[in-house]
Amino acid sequence: MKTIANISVSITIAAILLNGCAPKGGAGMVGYDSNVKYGDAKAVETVTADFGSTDLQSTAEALTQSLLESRYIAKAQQPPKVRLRTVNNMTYEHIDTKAITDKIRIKLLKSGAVRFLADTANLNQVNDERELTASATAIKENKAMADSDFIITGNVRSIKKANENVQDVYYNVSLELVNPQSGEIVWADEKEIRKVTAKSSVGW
Amino acid sequence: MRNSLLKVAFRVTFFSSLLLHASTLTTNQLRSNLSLNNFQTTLASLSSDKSNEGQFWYWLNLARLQQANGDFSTSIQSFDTAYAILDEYENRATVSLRNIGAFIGSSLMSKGSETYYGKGYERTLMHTLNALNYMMLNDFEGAAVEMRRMEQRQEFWLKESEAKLKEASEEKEKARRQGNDTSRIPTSYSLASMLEDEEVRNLVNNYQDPFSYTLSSIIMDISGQGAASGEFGEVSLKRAITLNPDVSKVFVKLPNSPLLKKNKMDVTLIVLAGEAPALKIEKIRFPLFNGANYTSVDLTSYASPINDITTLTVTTDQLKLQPPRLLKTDIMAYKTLKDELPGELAKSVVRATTKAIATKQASDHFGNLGGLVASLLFDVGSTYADSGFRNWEMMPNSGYIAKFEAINNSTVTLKLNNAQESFILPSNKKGTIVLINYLTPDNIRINHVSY
Repeated sequence: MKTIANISVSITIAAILLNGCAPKGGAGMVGYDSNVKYGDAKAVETVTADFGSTDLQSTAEALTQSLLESRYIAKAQQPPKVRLRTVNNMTYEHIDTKAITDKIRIKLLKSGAVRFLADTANLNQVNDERELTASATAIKENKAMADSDFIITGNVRSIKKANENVQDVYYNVSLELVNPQSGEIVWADEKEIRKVTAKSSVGW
Repeated sequence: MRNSLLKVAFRVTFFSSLLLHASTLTTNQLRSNLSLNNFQTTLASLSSDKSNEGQFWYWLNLARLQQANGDFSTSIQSFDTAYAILDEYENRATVSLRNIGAFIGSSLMSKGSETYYGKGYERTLMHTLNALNYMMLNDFEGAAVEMRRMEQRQEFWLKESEAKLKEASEEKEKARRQGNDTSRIPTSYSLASMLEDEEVRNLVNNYQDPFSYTLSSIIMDISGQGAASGEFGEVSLKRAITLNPDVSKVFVKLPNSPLLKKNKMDVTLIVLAGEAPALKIEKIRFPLFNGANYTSVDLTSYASPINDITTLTVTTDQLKLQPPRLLKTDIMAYKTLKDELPGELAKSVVRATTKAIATKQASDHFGNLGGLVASLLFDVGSTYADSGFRNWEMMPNSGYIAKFEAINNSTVTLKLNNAQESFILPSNKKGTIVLINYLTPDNIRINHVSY
């Protein structure tokens, strides 16, 4: 009887000790008890009506596809050299427009249809590009770096309307492919997004 | 006898409210500790005081002091928290239990039962001042976003003001049915004459200011968004001139000279001075019945602005300027008060009548002492609630803008009242923005950014 009791006590102690020593959640997991969970990066996000991850993904997807189908890219003899310029944020939100251009750049590069030149940050005028090319011509080794076949520019705009019950936000993301030598816009497309939030009738 | 009774009552209520709010940095503590020696301690105390972190005004006060201290990024975070509080209020359910509770409380008990969500000019200027934060971080696109938000925010205020007007006429009617005349402002009300000031009467509205629109046009110009934004900058400038024709004096160019052309740069000088009128509830107490009991009409009022400047002169080797005062917070506050006072007065009279009836009943049942206790309880309760009813006290009272051309590397001298400050402009830059915060005569803070 005493032996059974001893065995029971030993098993209990061992179980407690083993439980205490084992990493929580099994091997390779830290913070098992926390509230942090992984979510699907592609899942539709509707936490607020602000410009969010779903908008970023759908915009990049749609505009990249459209750009790749344009004849200046699709029918080019060899992948053209492209430089991504600033996408202007003309909305009511602090949108990181670089996140949009980065995503588009990655998608275009993966397609192999274009070659990208390094960014000339914060210069957003076609004229700047022309000046850059002209000045670089004098320095032979810099010419390859500066001489782009096309530049991509764009704008994000929004219109907000609200009445007592409904708030409507309309986003328009537009991109343009511009020949910096001639200033000609050879391709342009847009992605429109509309989000509507309704107020509850009764609430705290 | 009556006077001494009222004095005792006043002391009881004053000390009670003081005890109940002992842990919070009071309006007076905040306003009187902005000098150079006390500023850092005041900012630290305000940052660590979490007792009011649900209050709109707390975050605005903190954001402003952080901005004056040059902590532009943390100031943006504080402004964002204030926005979140206001956004939550603006997006509440059509029938919100909290709004109903606040309405009942303010109708029966005291004005301070309401939560303060700012007036139109405060909601506009929080975006304007936050735009300055972005500018000082060289983020002109971010500043442009804030200026668009500034415009957008006014829409809700207009709807809210319309609702208030409707509510005011209902309260007026209610007071009339109770036999009270609410068309006249009580003579003992401290701001009675101020509300009739010519400048207050002539203000176009209580939420749009020429300072914000002038700044907006400058931001659009510097950010290069002028054309792409559908000439938003030009429209802003036209609006600013409509609000104050002196805006045309803001922009000064040097004469065209080939010698100067190469060395010229744009200087945008922004001066924010003083602290805005601080909100308070003014109680006009009057005795009831046999004089043993009393009730009070409580009206929204303001303590005068402090530490403001009256003269500003900017001097360079080529120019001497006296930029116009574009931001007049005190005038906007008084204009708002003037617009809202008829409704406030009617509501206040209804409150006073409700309290008087309850006091009378207490007096009838428990004698004079019962009436006095009821009077005191009402007074203490409302004084406590009123002491937490605060506005954006750290908002600058005056704002000046000057945009002028100057020579690279030259000296700019400012005279703000009797204080004189000088700084040297950078070289090889297209332009520079200089933000001057005049908090007190001995605490003037200058920050700049070049582009």
